[in-house]
Amino acid sequence: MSWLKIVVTLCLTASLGLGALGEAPRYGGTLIIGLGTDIPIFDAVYCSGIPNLGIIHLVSQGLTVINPTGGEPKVLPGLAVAWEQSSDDPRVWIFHLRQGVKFHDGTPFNAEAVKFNIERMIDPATGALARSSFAMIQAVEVVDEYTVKIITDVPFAALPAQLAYAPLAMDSPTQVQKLGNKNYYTDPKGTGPFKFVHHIRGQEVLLVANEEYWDGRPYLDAIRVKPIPDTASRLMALEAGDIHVAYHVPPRDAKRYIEHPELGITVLTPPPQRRMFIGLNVQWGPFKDVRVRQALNYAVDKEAIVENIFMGLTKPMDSPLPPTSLCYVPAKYYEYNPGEAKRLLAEAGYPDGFEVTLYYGPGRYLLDTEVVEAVQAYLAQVGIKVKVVPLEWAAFQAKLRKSLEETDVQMFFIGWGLPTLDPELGIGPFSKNAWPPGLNSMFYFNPEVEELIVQQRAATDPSQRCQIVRKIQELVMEDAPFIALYYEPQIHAVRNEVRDLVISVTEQIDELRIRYTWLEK
Amino acid sequence: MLGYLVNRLLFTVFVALGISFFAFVLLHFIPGDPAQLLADQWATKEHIEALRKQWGLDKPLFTQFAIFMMNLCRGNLGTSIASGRPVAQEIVARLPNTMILALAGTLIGVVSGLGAGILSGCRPYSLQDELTMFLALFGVSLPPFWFGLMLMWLFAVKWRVLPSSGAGTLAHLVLPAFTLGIGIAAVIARQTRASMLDVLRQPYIVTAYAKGLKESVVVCQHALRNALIPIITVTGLIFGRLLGGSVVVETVFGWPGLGRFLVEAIFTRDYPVIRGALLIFGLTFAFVNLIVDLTYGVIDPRIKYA
Amino acid sequence: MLKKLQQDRRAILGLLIISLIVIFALTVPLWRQYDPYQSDLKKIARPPSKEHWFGTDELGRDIFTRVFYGARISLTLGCVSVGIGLLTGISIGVVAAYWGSWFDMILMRLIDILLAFPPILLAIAVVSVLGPGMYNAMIAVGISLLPFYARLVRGSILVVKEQSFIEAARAVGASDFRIIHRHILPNCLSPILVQSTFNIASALLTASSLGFLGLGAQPPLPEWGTMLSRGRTYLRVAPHITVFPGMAIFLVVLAFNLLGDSLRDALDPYMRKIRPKE
Repeated sequence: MSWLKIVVTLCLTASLGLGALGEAPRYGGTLIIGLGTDIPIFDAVYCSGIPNLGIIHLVSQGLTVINPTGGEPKVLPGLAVAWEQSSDDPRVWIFHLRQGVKFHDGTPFNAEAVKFNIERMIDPATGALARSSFAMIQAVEVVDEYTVKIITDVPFAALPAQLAYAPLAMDSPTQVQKLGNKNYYTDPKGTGPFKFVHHIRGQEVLLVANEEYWDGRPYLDAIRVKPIPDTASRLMALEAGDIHVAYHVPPRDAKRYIEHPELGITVLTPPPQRRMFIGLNVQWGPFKDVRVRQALNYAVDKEAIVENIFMGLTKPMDSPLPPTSLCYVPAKYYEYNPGEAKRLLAEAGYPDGFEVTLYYGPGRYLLDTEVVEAVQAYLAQVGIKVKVVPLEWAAFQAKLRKSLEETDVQMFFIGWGLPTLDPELGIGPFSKNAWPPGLNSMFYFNPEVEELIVQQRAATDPSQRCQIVRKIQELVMEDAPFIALYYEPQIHAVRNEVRDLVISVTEQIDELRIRYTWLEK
Repeated sequence: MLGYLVNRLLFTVFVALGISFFAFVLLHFIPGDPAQLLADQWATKEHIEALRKQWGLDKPLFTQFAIFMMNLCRGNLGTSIASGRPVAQEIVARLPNTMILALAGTLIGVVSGLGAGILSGCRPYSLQDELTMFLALFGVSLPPFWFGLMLMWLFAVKWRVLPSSGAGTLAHLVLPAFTLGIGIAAVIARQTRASMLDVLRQPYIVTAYAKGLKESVVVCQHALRNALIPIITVTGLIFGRLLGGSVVVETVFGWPGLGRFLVEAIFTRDYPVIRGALLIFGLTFAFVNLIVDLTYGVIDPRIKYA
Repeated sequence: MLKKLQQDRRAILGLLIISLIVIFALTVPLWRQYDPYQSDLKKIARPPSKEHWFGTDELGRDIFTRVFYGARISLTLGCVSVGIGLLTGISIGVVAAYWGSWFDMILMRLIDILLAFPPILLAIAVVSVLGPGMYNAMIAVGISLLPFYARLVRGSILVVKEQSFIEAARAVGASDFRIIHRHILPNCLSPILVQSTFNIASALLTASSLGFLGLGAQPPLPEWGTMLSRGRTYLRVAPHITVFPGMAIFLVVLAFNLLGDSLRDALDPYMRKIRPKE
């Protein structure tokens, strides 16, 4: 059903075209966004959840921003306009900042502010939730008012992309010092197109336009964000007009909106970055043999899953990196071939298959139960008896993070997002130092891959880096420490009155384009 | 009377202690680590340990409990792990919502339940009685989450006359309150009928009729007062049930109340919030029971609290 | 008593529904057309039709078959939870009443604490410790029912304890256990029976609420509450996924309540009204 994809593309192009056809944007209106989560705390340092952080970024922006289309260049200028890696010392990156920008409280945005915010993130005393993701930063030096030097412990090619990672945001040092770390969330002041008004937990966040925004006053007067965790209610609110934007729409409802344009709702499908797979504990029993792991990959019909469960709105997984990532190549695709699967299993000594347990945490990912049960059915056809054990998410996470000696995990269904679109975070976890309590619950270890990961991190030449990453992708797909399934589609819906709203590949509302979003009527 | 009051208040304190300890012990055994859940995907072991330390989770159980009790005496319920806000603040933000829903539901329930029950009781075994009691049985058997979803589908999806979720206007209150109210109305109706029947058989009622008093006078002035006692017991129990039942209804309708907050906190292992919410629920229930018992004393002068 | 029951329409209706469901539930493996666990990705969320009387669910499984497989789960949930609550509650009640004095007081205060929790909250608290799942849900619901029985039995014993025939039995030299067994428990039987019938209904509601919240029986088990919660996302496009399991819960709960009502009326003269507060 890739006709659906064609229709979606046509619709988007058409609406873009219509937008271009001389409909002038108008000022005014309040955009109401329906999120599936309630923002826990309005401070990027302590907030979890990328869509939540996206809202915070409308107030406190990032130094760099990931290209919302996932295309080239991957990293766009945000509050930093240009950057380069020092040729003398590859551990040093120099960032040139945007000039003439002020925080909402009047404090000027400059190198001192950048230093303050990065130090706030990496200081253990702050207790930032994403501290480890910025732990490679050793020091920040102010060169002059608009130039900053960031020094990493080892040469780090991915730094500009890493700085776009949502938990890092530029907040007014004056305000942070005035309110203190723990209370800053009560009245944050950033540089963004919208200013914070209030956050009533469980009910709404209210933001108003920043008249002095550095890119010009936004078209919208205000933005309201409402948490509506129940999907059915969220969609009802969208159709009734109570909200303009609904985050995370199930594929069937998206299909309905596309087939019934009279409902007045447009479907947005930003490109995917979350890799969905069944992790295999490569240290356990049959999974020690690569032939068995490959057999499992041949046994599952990913095309069918993509077509029937996700209505063709995504594509099967053919690399440990998503298609939107830097250096992505379609490394290896295991087409549906149960005959080959059985042959490999027999060759490895399991002609009659075996029993295995699969853990997952239902409700976390789009249609996860449907996918898990489909996989169970496919594996049964080649003689693998899968016992599916659903666990509450917290218990599931606890299980995944157990060390090799303690773990009883054999198979697990998980998704790995890649908000920086960079191989550093994308294939970094396929190494031994990411073993639990790290991400690598497959206990995968390939010395060659290990070496290549270190090399790509230090590479200063982008094309050379991509060559190294290409090799890594091919090796990992060949080793198959997982059953590669698909990339999780991102599906959102907006009412037709909303124009020029861009939701990024990272799942955030694009902080640079929001100022151009406007409301009809 | 005073002695009784003091006794009951002490008991309430005992309940509070008991609930806190119960919650503490329970939470200790739950698998799942809030630090791990909140830190991002790439967090290192050292980072997670640092977070746990920051939230005091690395200390032994008894130390944590001691700290909790000391804070409690100062009126501090701890700080939420997920939001960084004081638990007391989070609860205060939501408790009124649950109360509003509970009161609205009780109002609907009591008014319709009492009315139906009285009418049935006055005309036992009539067609009206049988019908009402059958409907009441329906009401008691309805699963609230299913009923709520069906109502939502009908009024919010098909007919688009009411909002489907959230709070803010009176319209938002209608569906959830009605869902709660039906179950309560059913219980009250049954109980009212039963106690009306009991009372109406009493000799003094016959005397009242013999004196030539009108039926409405007989009912309102004489019968009702005495029938009220068992009804009030049930109302007390119902209020407790309301607090619990609201958990499900709040989840279905996205009503920002304490019940839903508690369930969410359990999923995110926000221990301070779980403790605080359980404590508040328990205390509220004990308090309501106290009020109910005292009301007995007012209505029935025969009951004295030594 | 049986005669009175036979004449009571409610009892007949209640028993009829229950027996029908039990029969269906027990025999379903024999006559079913579809496998309740077999998903068919091409048939997702189809509305009721000739091939699928109740339609298909979010994984293409036949809902009719799943509802009846679910009947076994739900009936087990209801009866086992009540069984757990009954056995533990009665034991506690007997022990408390018999030992008396401070031991009794402490036990009863503990019971009061348990009663301070609305049953669903208690069940949620227990399940969050033990982890979600069908067996843990049964334990959790059982614990929430325990206080009823403890109070009931203790109250009964206290009332009966003072009566003369107990004195007589003691005088004859009957042991404590024998006295409980032969004389006290049979007198409590009626209220226990009536209460248990209602409790099965309420246990079912609580257990399916747990399933609805994601804390009870987990997918792919066809527990009715779990099926409802899975179907929620499809409410707009396929409401039938939620209608049928919900109706099933409603009918079974209704049946047990009907039965309970008629049992209570039938046993009325023999039943002492035990007040929940003394």
